[in-house]
Amino acid sequence: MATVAGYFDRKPSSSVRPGIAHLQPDPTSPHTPQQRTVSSAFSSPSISYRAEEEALIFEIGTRHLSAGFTGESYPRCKLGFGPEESGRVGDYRRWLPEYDERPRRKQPVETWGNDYELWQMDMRGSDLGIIEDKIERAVREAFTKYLLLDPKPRRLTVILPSIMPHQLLSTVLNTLFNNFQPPNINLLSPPILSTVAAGCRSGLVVDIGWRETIITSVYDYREVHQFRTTRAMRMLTLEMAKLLERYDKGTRKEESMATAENPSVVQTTEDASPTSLNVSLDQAEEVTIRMAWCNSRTNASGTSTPENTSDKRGLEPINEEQPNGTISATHSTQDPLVSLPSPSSPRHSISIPFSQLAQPVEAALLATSKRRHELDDHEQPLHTLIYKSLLSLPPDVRSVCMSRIIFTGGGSNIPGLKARLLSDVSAMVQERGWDVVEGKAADERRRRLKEISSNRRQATSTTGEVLKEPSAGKLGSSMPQDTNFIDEKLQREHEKESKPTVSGIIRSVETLGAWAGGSLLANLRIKGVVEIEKDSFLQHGLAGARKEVETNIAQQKGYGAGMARGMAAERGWTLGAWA
Amino acid sequence: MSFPYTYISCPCTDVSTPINGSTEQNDDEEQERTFDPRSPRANFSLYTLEHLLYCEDCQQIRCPRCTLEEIVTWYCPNCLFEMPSSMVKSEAGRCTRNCFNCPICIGPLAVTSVHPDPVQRSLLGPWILSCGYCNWTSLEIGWQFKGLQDMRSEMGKLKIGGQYKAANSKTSASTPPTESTPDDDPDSVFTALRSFYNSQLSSSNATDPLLTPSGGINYSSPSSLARIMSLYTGRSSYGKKDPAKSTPMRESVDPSEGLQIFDPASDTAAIEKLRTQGWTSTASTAQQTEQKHPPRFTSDLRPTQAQLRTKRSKRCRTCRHILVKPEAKVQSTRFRIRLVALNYIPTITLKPLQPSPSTQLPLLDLNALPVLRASQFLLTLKNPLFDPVKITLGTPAHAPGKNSHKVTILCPQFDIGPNADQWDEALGDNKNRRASKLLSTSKVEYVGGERGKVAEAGKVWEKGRNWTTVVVEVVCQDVGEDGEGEDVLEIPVFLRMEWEGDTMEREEGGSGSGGGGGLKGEERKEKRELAFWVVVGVGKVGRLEGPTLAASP
Repeated sequence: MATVAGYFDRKPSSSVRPGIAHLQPDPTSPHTPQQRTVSSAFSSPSISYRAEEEALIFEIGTRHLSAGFTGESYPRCKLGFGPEESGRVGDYRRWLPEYDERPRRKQPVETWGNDYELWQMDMRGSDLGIIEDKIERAVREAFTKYLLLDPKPRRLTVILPSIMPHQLLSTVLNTLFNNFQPPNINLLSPPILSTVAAGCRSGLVVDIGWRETIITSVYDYREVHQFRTTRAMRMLTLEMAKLLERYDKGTRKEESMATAENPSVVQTTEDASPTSLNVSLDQAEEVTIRMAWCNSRTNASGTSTPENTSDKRGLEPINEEQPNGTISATHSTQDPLVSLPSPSSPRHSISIPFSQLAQPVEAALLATSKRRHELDDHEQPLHTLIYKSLLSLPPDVRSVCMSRIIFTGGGSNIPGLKARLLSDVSAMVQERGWDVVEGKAADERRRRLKEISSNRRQATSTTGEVLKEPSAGKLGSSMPQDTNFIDEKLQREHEKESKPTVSGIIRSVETLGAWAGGSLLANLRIKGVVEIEKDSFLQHGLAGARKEVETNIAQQKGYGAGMARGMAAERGWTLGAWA
Repeated sequence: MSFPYTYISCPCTDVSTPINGSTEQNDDEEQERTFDPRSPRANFSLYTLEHLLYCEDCQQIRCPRCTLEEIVTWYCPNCLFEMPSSMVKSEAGRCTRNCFNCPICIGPLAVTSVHPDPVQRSLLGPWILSCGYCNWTSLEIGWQFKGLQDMRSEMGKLKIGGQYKAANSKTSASTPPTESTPDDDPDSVFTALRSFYNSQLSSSNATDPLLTPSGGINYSSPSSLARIMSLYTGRSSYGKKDPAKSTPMRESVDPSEGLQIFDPASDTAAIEKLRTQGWTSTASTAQQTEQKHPPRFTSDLRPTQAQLRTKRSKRCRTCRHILVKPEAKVQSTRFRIRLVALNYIPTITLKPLQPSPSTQLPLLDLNALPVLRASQFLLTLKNPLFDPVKITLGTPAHAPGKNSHKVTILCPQFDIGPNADQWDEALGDNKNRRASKLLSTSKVEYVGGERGKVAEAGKVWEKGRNWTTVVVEVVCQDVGEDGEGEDVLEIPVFLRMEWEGDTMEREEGGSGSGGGGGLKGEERKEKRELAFWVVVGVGKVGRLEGPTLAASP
């Protein structure tokens, strides 16, 4: 491009520029954005770059704020929004020795741990002022304690989930603009950044977050499809809290009865679903982060449900009759008792069989105890949802995405979970193929079709096979295609310049996470579609955003939802995917 | 925090609206509305007196939310060495000297030698880090250091276990993927990814979505550009490099480019370790947050470099005057400017007024306040100003919350004397009663204790040189068993103070001054007022002891 710039520089511009304007196709065509402020193209770009070097990256989620500088591989700090962080300044009660044993209120299960969250997507009854206060305090702490910066205006890149209420988005932006005076804010969406941080162009991003697990298919840096389920870390932590509470009660009861019996005996008498919990979220979360694990597929079907003979986990429900007593008695080496600090008092400890610590994952994320028809659309288990989202994709996209399954979010740290999900998904693929229709009638029909086709094959050794074999390897390639010279040429070009891409097998790729992706992008000086200038935002708020047209153009140009270069500032700004 | 305590609500409840413009309105609203210390937002505007500043120009309390901070010095809290601002960012805000924190207990680590000869230990390495508090040493992760000079960079190269990392990512990139396993170090993955993207960006062209804005930002339609070029240059090379047909940037395909394929083996190993070693082998969340990349096990925790701290000066957000300016020297604890609220607004303390011994009622216990019986407290306000202050206190008749405890301030309007020279009082007319006039918060006071004094409505309990004590009467309701937080009795008090202060020499600046404007440059008295909400934490409400408890006399 330097030659081009140099060329126009040398030429007297008067004759050239009208020419360019002439050659522009119709502005509404997808190819041509209208911004043509030529003069700025040749102004020294280094100034803006230097400003960009200072940019900060904030990732705001339901539970945490991560903040740091561009070009660094990890955020400088990760601050929570919990009740400890939203206490009064100068309240040092939590450093007192008896703080751990303070009487706790029983919290009903429905609202358990809500005060640890920055926002709820259900905005009814929520006070935006608190969200503002929490963000303000967290960002201020990040600045003074971890980033060690003056509040000089700096560019901000904010990583926010792209589907959120406008009220919330407006509150977040308002707080940032008003208190920290950034000249502009770039919005980026997490799934794309996770893809970038994995080194891929496409992929199926499984973000096991706090409130929701969001499964996004990304193709060429564009969000293609999104599925969500409430089976995420909150549910898992809640299950863990219930487990802890059961055992805690069990040991306490035991102590009072002064019998040295197995805790599981007591446990069976407890009701399975208490309506309120004594265990607080930070206790349960600590155990979840440190000790939760996930059985492998073979183990899960082998040990936890020995009486259930069926292997077809995807279709058949599995009764959750846990043989606790037998496990802890017989496999003491396989399943040792783990002693954890008791939630009711730090001086005591409770013992839980190791296998029990895998149960919350089974119950919350995989829903192995539930039949499929019992589950509503918003609470599909993760492996089903991964399969579903792959199924909903067009075959070529599917083949690329299925070998780039990217797990991220807090839940991806649970050891064994990724392997379990992958094997569950590939088992489902083995079993069902990529057929949307399922059920007994469908099986029958498939069987009959197979018969017919085999008959036909025997008779004529046919040319085109009607049925797709449900094997993962043949995906997408089974359809015979008309060869076409453009395709061939493209194919040749493609082979010449790039290494072969893996596709068609189920494989998972590790990512550094959305924050690192944002840091990478900002470091490469790539802006998001959504770049909000301070002045225009403070004047008009979110209403100042232009609506549809330009966004569409940006996406058609192939820049993708999160990846377009910024539209010209003087032409206003758009909310892009956040609209 | 033990009872009783006092919090002050900064009047800047909403910093997003400019404080300057809307003070009057806010004042009106606030006076109508009762401050509720239980609302979750209240936590964000309540501060102890020690945390507040005072802006003389705006004549208003300033909290951390309505001040702007500027960093004066960066320094390491361990070695108290100052770090130049240019290095702060590049060193990730950490001390560059040998200041490390223990990964287990965050205590500071000492550098000690493990040389076999005890005589030479003070001179020669190898060196290790050891924690004086929890006895952790860097030998537990197999780390020994050759020299004292560059421990920090040596640490960057070390892996857990003591091996050095593969020398260079570039050399490992040229060799076929070895067992170097970059996946245990996200930093190297990140650098690999970054260099990969950089190389891809520089080699790819205008169609590429990941293009630097330097080229073609205004010619971003590639086909039109190609046409222009072929028009004006006629060179065939442009036709060949037609951007529309060229391939987009590819993705990374091997570990040297930052691609990591998920490997279930590491997970299985982790589960096995969890199974065999249990809870104690795992790093707590507090330990994990100290690390750059949170590890799961304590055996993978690394010592962390000490996080720098800062000395900051503070400015008023409204008028930009400096409120606090510490001396730049790290060792010094002095301030050049320090306008703390402690010197401007009264200190408010509360203590129980014990019932008279003759009534044979039990003493007031702040952790179990009597229910359904009047208990009295002494609220003392101490004036830091050199002018006498007129105080008006207001409190809602029922403390907010679902248990409406009755609260009455027996004397809501009173004066406090000036904080004049102590000798004035000592040599003054009533020197025989000096001892009783000194404010003592520790002394237990009884109803009718001294000279048979009983709390009376409209009368000040006691008055001293620069302090005044009034009585607050509280009747607690039964709260039942509600657990955390519900049984705490907190009284919101609206405090309004009026005094005649000296006008400033310069022109009256800022806002918030209630009194009439003073003439410029002239020494005269000016009426001022300040009003804010105070939350007094009295104690915990006790349980109803049973039907035998008699009502208050």
